[in-house]
Amino acid sequence: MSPHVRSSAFRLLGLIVILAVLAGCAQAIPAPVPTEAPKPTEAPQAAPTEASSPSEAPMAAACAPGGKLLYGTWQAPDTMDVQTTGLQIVIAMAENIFDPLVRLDPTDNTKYLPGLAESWEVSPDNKEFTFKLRKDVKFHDGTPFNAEAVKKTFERIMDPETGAFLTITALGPYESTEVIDEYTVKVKFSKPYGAFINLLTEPLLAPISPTAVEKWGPEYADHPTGTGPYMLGEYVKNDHLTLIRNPDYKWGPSFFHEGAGYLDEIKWLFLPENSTRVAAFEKGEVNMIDRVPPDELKRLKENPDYATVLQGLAGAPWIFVVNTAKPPTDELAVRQALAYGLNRQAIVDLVYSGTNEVHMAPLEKRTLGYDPSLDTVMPEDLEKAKKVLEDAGWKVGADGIREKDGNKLQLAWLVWPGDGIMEDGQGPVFQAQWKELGVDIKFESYDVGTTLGAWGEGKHNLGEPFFYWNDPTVLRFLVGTGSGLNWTKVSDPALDKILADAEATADPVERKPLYMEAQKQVLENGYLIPTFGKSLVLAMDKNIDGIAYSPTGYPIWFDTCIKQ
Amino acid sequence: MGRFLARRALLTIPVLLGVSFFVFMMVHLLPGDPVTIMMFGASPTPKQVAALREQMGLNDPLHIQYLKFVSKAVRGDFGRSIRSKHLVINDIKDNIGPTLALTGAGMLVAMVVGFALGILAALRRNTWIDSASMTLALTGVSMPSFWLGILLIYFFAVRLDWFPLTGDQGAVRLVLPAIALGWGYAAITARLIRANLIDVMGQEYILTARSKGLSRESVIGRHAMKNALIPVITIIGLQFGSMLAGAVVIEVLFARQGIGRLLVDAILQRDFPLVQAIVLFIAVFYVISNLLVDVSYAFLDPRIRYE
Repeated sequence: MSPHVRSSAFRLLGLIVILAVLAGCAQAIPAPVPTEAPKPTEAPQAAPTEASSPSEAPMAAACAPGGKLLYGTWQAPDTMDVQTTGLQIVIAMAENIFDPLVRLDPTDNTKYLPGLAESWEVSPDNKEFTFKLRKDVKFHDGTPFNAEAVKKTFERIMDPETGAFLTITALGPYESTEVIDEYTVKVKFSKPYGAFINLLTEPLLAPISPTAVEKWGPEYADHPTGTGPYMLGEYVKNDHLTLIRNPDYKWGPSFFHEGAGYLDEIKWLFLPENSTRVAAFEKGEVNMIDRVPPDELKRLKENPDYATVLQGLAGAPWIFVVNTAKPPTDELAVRQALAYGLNRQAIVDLVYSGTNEVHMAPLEKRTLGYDPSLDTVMPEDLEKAKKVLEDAGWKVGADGIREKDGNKLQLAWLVWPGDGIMEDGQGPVFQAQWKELGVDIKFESYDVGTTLGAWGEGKHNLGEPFFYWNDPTVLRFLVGTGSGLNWTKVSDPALDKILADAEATADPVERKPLYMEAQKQVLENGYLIPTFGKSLVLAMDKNIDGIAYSPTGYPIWFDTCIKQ
Repeated sequence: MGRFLARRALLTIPVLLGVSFFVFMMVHLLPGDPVTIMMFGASPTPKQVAALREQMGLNDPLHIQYLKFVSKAVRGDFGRSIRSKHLVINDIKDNIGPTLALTGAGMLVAMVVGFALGILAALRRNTWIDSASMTLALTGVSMPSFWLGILLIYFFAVRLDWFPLTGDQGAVRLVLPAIALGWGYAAITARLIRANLIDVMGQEYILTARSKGLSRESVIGRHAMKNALIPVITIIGLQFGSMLAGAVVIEVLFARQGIGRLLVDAILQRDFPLVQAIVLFIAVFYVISNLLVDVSYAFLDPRIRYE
């Protein structure tokens, strides 16, 4: 062979060998799952957990102190200041750094237990809340916890200079805080706001050290100072956050063990890429991770050294907001047909491989107000969906799409890149399911700013957001008259009244049936169509024991220890 | 030479001004109202929206805003990050180091591997060494750095456990990301060097040098390489700028700190002051590296100097 031909042959051979090796590798490596962009607000939804029961019995003395929890998480904090953050990860971290004034009973979400407040009274008009505080609590920097600290905490949230974000929404119609005596504090609202008690159970409104705020100024964002069982050790932005045990902690809630935490250290490592995070977990560089992609979950589940948990989160699930002001979704029949005509389980199986759950109510399972009876209000029934449309005059046209009075049954579903709808794949499956019904879905994808603006202006027929919020007031955000997040454009005075009453009273036993009625009306009127619950998808070493979950559904590691 | 340098440096000023203008306009050209975008998720009251507007200086007329932006930028004042409340300039200062380290290491990989493969291939032209080198280069050009990174993690970090994925961001953790980042550029450099060297070696003055009795090494080292390098230097300058952008992907994949990672988070959180500052920074870096390339070009090739 001439030298020229020989070298070409070698080149070809070399290429084939390398491609073969790479092809072999490609099969051995699980396909990387594209990273999802974080939602601007993450709303966790709470469903009962699989691996751990909602009530965590306090750890027996068999749990020896010591050990480190190394938590690989997908999202890095934007700031460590709970009051100004827009990210749920910061609230999740705060569960271990701060204590709430009021605790939610882990076994019964209509029951409240003492937190930093030993007891409290609500005025008959639900506008004034008086708290008697514990006297033995100190902040991490030694500052004593008292009524003044509570007052300063709330005032900081309301101060426009702070730039508070989610927390200011939680304070609602806040008016003022009055220090009655050193350990008694009264919070006043301009409207009845019983929901306040429930909202206090999460660290959004947890007391922060006024001394720390004073000392650090804007740098407080790097020095969160609370009263919790773990305190700031080290924070390196985009790399890790280390919390160390607070040795003075002895004011934990009754359902946890007494005294300080077991773990020496809780270290959060920020590993945004799915495959890297899973790799670090399997290498043993971290012993717990979140956001396990569906295809990896199956593999980790089968490994006897690991435990996996699907922890439901509170708020509103993935939910269609249906624009009642724009045809054809201004017709009740159309809205109802959309709800009847779905097969949600197919999408859960196809797209989410079991890391999501079908959900049929506007509030997540973990949220006060949810009840299983709501699951059957709008059952999935394709034949019924077709009948509803037929009876309303929507006849199937030649192209399979229904028509009425010369108008096609065409809906605009506005999305944005990174919201997960097209990327995960649920969008096209919904579209196919509704096509069978004779409904034509047109996707319009714009930048998030444009899409949100369009939703605000009512240019959509459908949108599909979800929300993290541990109180059922999220329902009012979605369908209440005048709410900036009311993309259903509904103004239903009867519904508004129920929602206002439900928000006014502090008694959860009173609130629940009101929210049940509200949800029933919302479902029957087709203002909202729930689809899937959201869960934290966690994987951890089997020897990690005693993880509890907050009202919203975030891990609390106070009772956690690492068995040897 | 001095005049060339001065003229070249002066030309960067209108470029930088243009860049600063586009970076500034970014916030206003985006569809949707910037403040609404930034506050999505909470139910902001009109008062909050107004306060944030005021804080960001969005109420001044556009040209005033631009002038304020530029005058502050020149002094290194980019304001505070909306989310972290850090001074933007501090965030950049803290994170530029790791990115430069990564890009530098990537360039090192690109040049060492690229030069080695390219020179080897050129000198052993049409042998199996040539074929092997060029096939290796082909893999670099065809593989996305992201995928190469995942492969490297799987084989060297997980399977062989030679490298950690977390922990101190020192030299050891830099190896795999540097390879993932630099491999593609190594490939381009290798092919370019090979082609140029072969081309130069065929020139008449090389034949003259050899016939004068100079050793092969001397001919290649002193005459051939310098001439072969000229187009390569241009590429390296451009590569540096483009590597800075590629570092974004690698930083996220390998969970490294750096301005690439900072930029991604800032964009996703609509933290406009931070986004503007970082984009401006990267653009300025690019402009300066191009300037340096042009200057070195003038040193290497006397023909340019005397224009």
